Amino acid sequence: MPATEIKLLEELQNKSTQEQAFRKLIREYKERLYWHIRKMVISHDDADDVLQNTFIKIYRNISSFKGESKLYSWMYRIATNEAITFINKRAKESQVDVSELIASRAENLKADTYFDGDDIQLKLQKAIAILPQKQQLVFNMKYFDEMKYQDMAEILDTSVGALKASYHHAVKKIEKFLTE
Amino acid sequence: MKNGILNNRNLKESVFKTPEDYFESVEASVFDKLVTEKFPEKDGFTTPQSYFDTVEQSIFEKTVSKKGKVIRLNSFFVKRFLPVAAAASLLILVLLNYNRKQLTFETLATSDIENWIDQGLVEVDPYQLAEVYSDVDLNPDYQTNDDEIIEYLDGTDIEGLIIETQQQ
Repeated sequence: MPATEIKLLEELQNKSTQEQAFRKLIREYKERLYWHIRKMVISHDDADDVLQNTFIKIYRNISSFKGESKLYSWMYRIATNEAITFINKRAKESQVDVSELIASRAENLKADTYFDGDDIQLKLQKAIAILPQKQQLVFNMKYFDEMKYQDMAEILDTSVGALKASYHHAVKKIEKFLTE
Repeated sequence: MKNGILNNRNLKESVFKTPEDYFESVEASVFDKLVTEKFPEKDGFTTPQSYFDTVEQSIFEKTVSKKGKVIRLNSFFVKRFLPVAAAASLLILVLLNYNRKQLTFETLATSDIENWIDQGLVEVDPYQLAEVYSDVDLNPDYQTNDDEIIEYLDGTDIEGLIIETQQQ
């Protein structure tokens, strides 16, 4: 774990400094976590809900975090799980598959107030939306977030080799979709 | 002599290592880089103006600020339980203060007890009442709808209720 993270973690796990440290944590990571969540759930309002739930969960569990992974990886994993739980819940409420839910959200992006992409960006989002969930995650984390495979492996608990393969399959499918 | 050292085969072996299966994945990695160069760089998603300024405070209010907040018991449940439980429990208080020969359970009217409560002549601790009459059913006339319950819960800090209960 980087030295800055170690120091922040100590402050988070100390009652006298926890409040200030948590403010710092939110300030430092809110945008990165938001955009990661947003790419998964697509809607801003839903991303807002999931982001806040993520930080609530982080706050409630920070005392028991043992530092076995990087702090950021741990937070990222919580965000990922919260987003997946949210999507699954919405899919169940709508009585559709998760893949159908995400695909339909992508289809409606053009009318979304908080999407200002051009045609090719819209098409890319539709291409991503029809990938299997794991490939969506890997593609977004690698392509947009420019995350290293080693960090992704820690977050997703998957081998680097499997992640590379997943990314490669995702790129091929997206390329095919964009050139159709 | 110098050439002898350089001819040592061990020196020619590479000391550098690669990750497992690296060369198998190089071709795919190069392909991916070339293909994604044609993809748009941005995803097109935006946020409301000043969103990131306000979300920090929202999160803080739901976490650090919320901790240790004590809430007052809303009178909603107190009003519902009180008339049912008060009548019977008050008998205990009344019997302790009145001549038992003059006053009996049968002669003491429930309406008298309720009047005493309404006039504030008797203080009743709702927790004591609830403990004594834990099996008392809610008056079936007290029907609550979902809106009332949601309105009550919105105005109530559940955590504070729990803290207050634990402090009793």
